[in-house]
Amino acid sequence: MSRRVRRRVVKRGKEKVDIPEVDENLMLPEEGVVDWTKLPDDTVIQIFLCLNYRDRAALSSTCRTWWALGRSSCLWQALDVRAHKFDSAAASSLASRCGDLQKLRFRGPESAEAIINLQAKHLREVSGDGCRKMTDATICVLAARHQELQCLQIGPDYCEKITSDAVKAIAICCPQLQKLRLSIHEVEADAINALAMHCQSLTDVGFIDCRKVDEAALGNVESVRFLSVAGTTNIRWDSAVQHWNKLPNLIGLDVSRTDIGPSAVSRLFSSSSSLKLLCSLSCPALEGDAAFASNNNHKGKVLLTVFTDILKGVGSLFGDTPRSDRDIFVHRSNSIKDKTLNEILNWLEWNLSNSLLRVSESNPSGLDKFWLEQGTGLLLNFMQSSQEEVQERAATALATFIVVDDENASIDIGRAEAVMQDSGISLLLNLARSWREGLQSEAAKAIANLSVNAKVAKAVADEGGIDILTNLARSVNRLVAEEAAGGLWNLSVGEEHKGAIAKSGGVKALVELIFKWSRTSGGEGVLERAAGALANLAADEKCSIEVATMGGVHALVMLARNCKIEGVQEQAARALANLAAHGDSNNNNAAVGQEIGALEALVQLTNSPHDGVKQEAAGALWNLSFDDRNREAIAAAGGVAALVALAHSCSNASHGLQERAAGALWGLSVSETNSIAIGREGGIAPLIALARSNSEDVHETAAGALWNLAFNPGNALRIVEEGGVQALVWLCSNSASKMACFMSALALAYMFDGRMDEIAQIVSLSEGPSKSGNLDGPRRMALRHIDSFLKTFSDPQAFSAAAASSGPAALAQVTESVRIPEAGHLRCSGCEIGRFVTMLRNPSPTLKSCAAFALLQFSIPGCRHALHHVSLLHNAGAPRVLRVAAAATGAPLEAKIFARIVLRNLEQHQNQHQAE
Amino acid sequence: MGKERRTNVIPLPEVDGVTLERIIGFLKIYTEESFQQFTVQEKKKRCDEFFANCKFNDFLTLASASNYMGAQVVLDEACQRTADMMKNKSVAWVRKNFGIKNNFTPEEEEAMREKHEWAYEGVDPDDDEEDII
Repeated sequence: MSRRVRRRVVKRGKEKVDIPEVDENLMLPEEGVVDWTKLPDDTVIQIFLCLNYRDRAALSSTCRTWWALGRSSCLWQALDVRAHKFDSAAASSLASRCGDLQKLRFRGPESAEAIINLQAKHLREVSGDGCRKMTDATICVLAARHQELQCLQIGPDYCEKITSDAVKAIAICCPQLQKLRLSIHEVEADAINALAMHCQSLTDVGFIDCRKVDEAALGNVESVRFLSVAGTTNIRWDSAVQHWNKLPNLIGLDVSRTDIGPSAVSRLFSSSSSLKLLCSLSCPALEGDAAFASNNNHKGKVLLTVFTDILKGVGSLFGDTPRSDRDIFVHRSNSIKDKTLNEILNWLEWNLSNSLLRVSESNPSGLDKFWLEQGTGLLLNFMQSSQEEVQERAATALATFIVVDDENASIDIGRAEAVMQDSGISLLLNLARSWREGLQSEAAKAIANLSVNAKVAKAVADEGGIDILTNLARSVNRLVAEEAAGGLWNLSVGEEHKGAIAKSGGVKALVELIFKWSRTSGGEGVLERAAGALANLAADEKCSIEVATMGGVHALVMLARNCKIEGVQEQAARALANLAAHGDSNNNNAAVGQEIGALEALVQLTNSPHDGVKQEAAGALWNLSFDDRNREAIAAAGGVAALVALAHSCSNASHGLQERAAGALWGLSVSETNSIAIGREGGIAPLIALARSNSEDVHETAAGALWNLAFNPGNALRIVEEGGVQALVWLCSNSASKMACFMSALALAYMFDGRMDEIAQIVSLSEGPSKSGNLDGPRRMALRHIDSFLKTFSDPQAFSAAAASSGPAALAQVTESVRIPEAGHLRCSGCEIGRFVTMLRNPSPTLKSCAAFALLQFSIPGCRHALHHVSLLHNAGAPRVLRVAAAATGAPLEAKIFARIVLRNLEQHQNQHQAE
Repeated sequence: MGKERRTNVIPLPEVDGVTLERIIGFLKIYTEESFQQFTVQEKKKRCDEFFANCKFNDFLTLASASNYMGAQVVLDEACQRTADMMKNKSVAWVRKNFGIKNNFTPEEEEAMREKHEWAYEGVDPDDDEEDII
């Protein structure tokens, strides 16, 4: 499903509606400001704990009391600096507060190097990601300075530069180590032996996604209770079984994503007395033996595969106590007192969520059943984990596994609905409310992806997701803002959500995002999503006013002018197109044109190498050209040449691009000066080519443009010379769009009402026999097709009834049957109306009928431009000509009746006018 | 001086009658345990109901009172909702809207700014904000 909404150009006029101001004072004290420092200290600390570090900094900067509370050691036991630039200066400035720091999460090797500056000697847990380029030296220093370290995790990225030397250093420096999880190239025997010798409390080892691990040496780490070699290659399973079955304490083993086969598993199960649980998700060799892999229980030991019921398997670890397996991960804190079982569940959560994420990323086929029946449930369970890492990974996996096609942003509906059914939306929204930016961005990403589905989007909106996303869009953290803006982009596709987004302050937040991130590099993702969301919102008339009020016009024009990223240009142009699509119902159209450089930028963008950018820019110029001043300004900015070039180049492009290229030329050609320029620049041939398209939308715009162009006799002759008569005749009788038929008939009528003949004579006199040759043939063909077009509207019964009666009812009936509703949106100039009036006196009965038919369409009471046309008709002295036409004895019946209807339309307008 | 009299009165400083009534009303319906049995959706719904029509300063009184009374669910949610209002706001904004008087010296403010710089590093400071007042 596309994130886009269709641009609508023609819209019925609407009353201008004032959008009520978003009431930001809603929450304000009525009784005046109360002193919040009266809050109990522990409550203030609890509030601190709900905020990220920036907000904590702001809060503690307000007054001395809160400053002191902000330094409370309970706020400084754990630190997550992943979202921050964490260099030695930053670390040093934190040192005075980190005396008791126990737990640290960081991102990237530069941050790793800075950790020592925290001087947090009592650090127990360190966990880092994004450490691909981290070196042995950094790890060695880290280990040497933090000898109380109990837990060290570096991953999930593979650290190519870290060797066994680093592992040895860890072993020697950190004798209290309990948990070690690494993803490195090779773990050699001496490193593992050093761990076995020095780290007597090491119970949890994970050499995950390594290239090679000395499996024999692992058998020496007797303290180990949980071992993971998930994703690790080159394991010799014979040797592994032989050595690991001697590990006296081994309870859980994770061999997911490896090449382990059934025989190794069954030998492990039969030879290890302590082993309880083997986790083996996505092991092709094992799954090849379906009977083996779908058996949960192997002699009292539990095997978890994509074919087994994982929750049931885990439940069986708890013995006979009857329990609800489904909640085993969630509700255990209340019910499980057994420390070992709790450990198992924690370990399992961590490892399963890791494997699920990896599997969701590669998205192998054949796992549909697994995801629907188990995977979704597991991820939702893990999102409620007490381990923040697990929550985060589960949200990431959730955001990933529902996407089936990255290119088109399409998602698997079944999976999305499975998430929704299990209250996944509330869980995600809950995570998004967390102060932790890692959780915020992952949850927002999942919500954004899920919201591609309209049903899920509704659930998100119903559960208050729009407010939450709008809040996140205000975040200064780029990742969070980007995902939140993406969420608003997808939600804003739904008509029913647009108003809610505006009400939540989303428009303002999105416009501010553009101002904020257009100044900095790296913000392209934010800009594209914010502009995309604004584009969708601008398609709604009320919201479009809000977008303009919040400074959106300036922001979007700035993007169109300055941003070099195509995705951003495309969305900015689309947003400007939608802003300008509300015609005369608000001022946005004019406002966009008045923004300095806007029209020049859009004209430039039609020259982009990217089709999407060209399409949206042409669409914007089309919509903007509805405003007279904009139209001429576009031409002055080189729009004619640019759009003619675009029309030339898009013969093989998408229908959307073709439609807009011709549409923009249609818009420009409203003035005769532009028409002449388009003809001179060579715009006629490509428009004729587009008229032969097989898409109705392209028919309409190409026919519209040719109709306008044909008003000018020089252009009319060019159309004949370029073979346009055949194209128009074909359109007139074959297009599925009545508008396209109508406008091509009018184009043909202009071409053959006589005005072209003079020019043709001059040309043939000066240049000899012209390319157009004899005009009689084309003329006969044109008239014949106009005639048959008009005949498609004739209903003999209604016509003879109208001829017989002088009452209004019969005429009204004919009007109903010939009316082309969209034609009411067309607006003609005085010259055009005058030309049709003149045509009423044309000797050709076909042209007479055609002129009366056109005037009928343009003057139907209630039509958007009817009043305008009626006054032009009076100026042209039409009533007299119409009366003559209606009474003429030789004229065809249709012409007479159409003329009578136009007269009646004029009368009705006059009556209405008098009544007012 | 007489003997100290034993009394059953539990002091509830700073708790006004209306707030007290609200919290007691909540505690009458749910105990801590019964509340935890709800699904995430149900919890949210009930909290939304409870905090509906809450004015800005009601969060202050509700948080204080529920703290004294040990009404954990109400306390947690009041803190969360207060924090939500403080997110992404400037110091000046928090001072103004939470009625906090700045009692730092300019030197202290400067020193504090340095201490807090790290939190803003690597990301753009939120520079354009406006009052809700």
